[in-house]
Amino acid sequence: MAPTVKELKFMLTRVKQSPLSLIGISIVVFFAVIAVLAPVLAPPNPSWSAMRSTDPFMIPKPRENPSGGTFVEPSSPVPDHPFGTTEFQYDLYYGMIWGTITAFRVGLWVTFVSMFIGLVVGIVAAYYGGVIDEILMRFTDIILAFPGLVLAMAFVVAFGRSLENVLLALVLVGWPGDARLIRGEILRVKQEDYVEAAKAVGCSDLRVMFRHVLPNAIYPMVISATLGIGGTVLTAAALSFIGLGAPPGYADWGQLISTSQNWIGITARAYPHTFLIPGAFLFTFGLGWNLLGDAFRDIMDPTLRRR
Amino acid sequence: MEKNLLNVENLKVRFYTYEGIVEAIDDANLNVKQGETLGLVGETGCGKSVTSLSVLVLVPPPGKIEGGSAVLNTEKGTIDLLNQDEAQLRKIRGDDISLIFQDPRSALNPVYTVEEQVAEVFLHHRQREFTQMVLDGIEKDLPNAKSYKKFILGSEKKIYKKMLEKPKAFSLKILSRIPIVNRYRRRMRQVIKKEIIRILSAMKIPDAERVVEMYPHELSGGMAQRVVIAMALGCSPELLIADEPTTNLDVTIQAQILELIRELKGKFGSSVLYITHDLGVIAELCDRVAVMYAGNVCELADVEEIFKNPLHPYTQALLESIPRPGKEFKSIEGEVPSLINPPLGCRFNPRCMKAVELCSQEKPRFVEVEKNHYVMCHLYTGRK
Repeated sequence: MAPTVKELKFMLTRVKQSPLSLIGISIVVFFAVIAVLAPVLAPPNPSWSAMRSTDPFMIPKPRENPSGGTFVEPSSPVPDHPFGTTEFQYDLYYGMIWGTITAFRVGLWVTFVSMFIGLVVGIVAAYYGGVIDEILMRFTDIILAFPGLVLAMAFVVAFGRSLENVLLALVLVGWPGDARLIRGEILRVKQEDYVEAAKAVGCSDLRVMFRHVLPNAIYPMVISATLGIGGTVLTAAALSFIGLGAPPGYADWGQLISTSQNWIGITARAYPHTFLIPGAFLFTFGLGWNLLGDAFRDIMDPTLRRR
Repeated sequence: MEKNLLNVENLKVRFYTYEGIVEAIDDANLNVKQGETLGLVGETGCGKSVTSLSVLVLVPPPGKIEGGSAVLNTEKGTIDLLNQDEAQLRKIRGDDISLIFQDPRSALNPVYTVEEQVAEVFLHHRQREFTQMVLDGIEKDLPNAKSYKKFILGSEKKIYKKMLEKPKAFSLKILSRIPIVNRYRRRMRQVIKKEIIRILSAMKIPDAERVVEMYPHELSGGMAQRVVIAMALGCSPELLIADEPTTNLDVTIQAQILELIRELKGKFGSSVLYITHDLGVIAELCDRVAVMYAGNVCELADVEEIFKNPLHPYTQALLESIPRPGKEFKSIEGEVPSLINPPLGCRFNPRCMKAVELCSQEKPRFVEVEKNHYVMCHLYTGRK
């Protein structure tokens, strides 16, 4: 059997053995299916009045006040709007479905970009050492010295409220951790005998770095990145909640929770579905990635896997 | 006069640490003759491993080779190891001189299978040979191939011919990265795998076909050491440096590995520099012995001569300290000196029973006292 097929089969058996990783994978796959099928599950309906803009991420408002202005108060679920509507009559079901795409975009984009920046900085620092290492690491220290959320907020406030700026802000606070992690791992692996052995058989420095050091150093980072996707989405939601993320009406779970702030109270006019549904989606999404991250750690790391 | 394979003269290595300059190797002289096994014996921290790394010019920072010479005489010519550029050294390492590490398990990269690791060494040093073997294989298959297979074989032949002419061509690098197209490398892999299995079988590894697909942590210590030795001997090096290869193995495996090294030395025609602190292993395996103390080679002689007629007081004390039943255990008084501030003169003089005034003033020269018996001690320089 080809070695790759063998490895894949081995991975599958490992997944089957651990129910938690199965749950994590199912959750993430479930959300991925929703994201892919979004145009089918919640087709943008051109007859809805708010669809003047062509952006499908703008949630339609099904009910508009004929006397001008909108109804402020949310409405309960009805067959046409399975999750009801939020303040200003945004269709919650549509928001949840399209918000899944936003969640994936935020989580994956931020994680990959900050991982890439962290990888480059970490490798350069660890490979060259000396002054370059010192400069790069002190710079990451400076960024790490700020509380992450506050720095991200400051960035968004400075450059204007938009989802794009939230993504950039999250990358800004995300990469130093990755850079540190990979640098530390590389420095640890560089001490190992097999690196010395690779040099002793005549491997060039670059080859030693990319073939012998990096594959041994990268696992903690991949795992922390997977675990971080859930957290990233939560942070983005937090920024949206305090009004620094996507604009009102944009299909984004955090923004939807933010819209329902006024209806949380336990009064006669409370509409718990407006915040419970996005909250539940957010919670499940984060949980799914965390479980998947754990599964990753168990499955991927070749030094741990066959014990 | 017959030329020595390896000649190390007046080697000086210093480590620049925060506490000060560590004079790890100070005037080490030794030579390895063609086809012999030289034992390098000494206490922990006396510079045995640094000597071996210096020969490969791989002294880790903050260490620096500050003086002396290390010359390798092969059939291809004389190579001054300390004055080579990095590219040249990379060709020498693993091909002319190879190194076996102390702990075989940590000397193997945990993320690659045995096959992948050994193949890397082979590809690095023996690519031409394997390319030729692949071409021969294609030549044999070509007449029997039909229709599209003929076309594939024909283009593979072109690629491998190019590889033979210009192994580092840019187009080849790109080809090997494109999926499906890079299938042509399969032939190379198969040829190399066969060779690896052949060599592993020569190492007396049972079931070599299965072992090549294993990861290092699936191997036992003895098995891992055999794989490491296979990697080291795969390119038939002129000089094999074995840095305490059996210290981490249990005694029965140790005996097997020693036997293997002795046997393979004959088969692959290598000379061996065997580093150990075990005098028993020295007596078992080596032709000649170099005794190191605190960065100096203090005595160099045939193995029988060393055991029967040790001249240097340190060697005498070392042999005295081998525990034997029915004999009182004698240890050497004092401690190994700090190499940041080594004693003046002979480095052994504070612990030496026979030291005279001169010993703490002047460093003795390394002289041939009897035929093929070199000592670094004032007792034999004729000055007292």
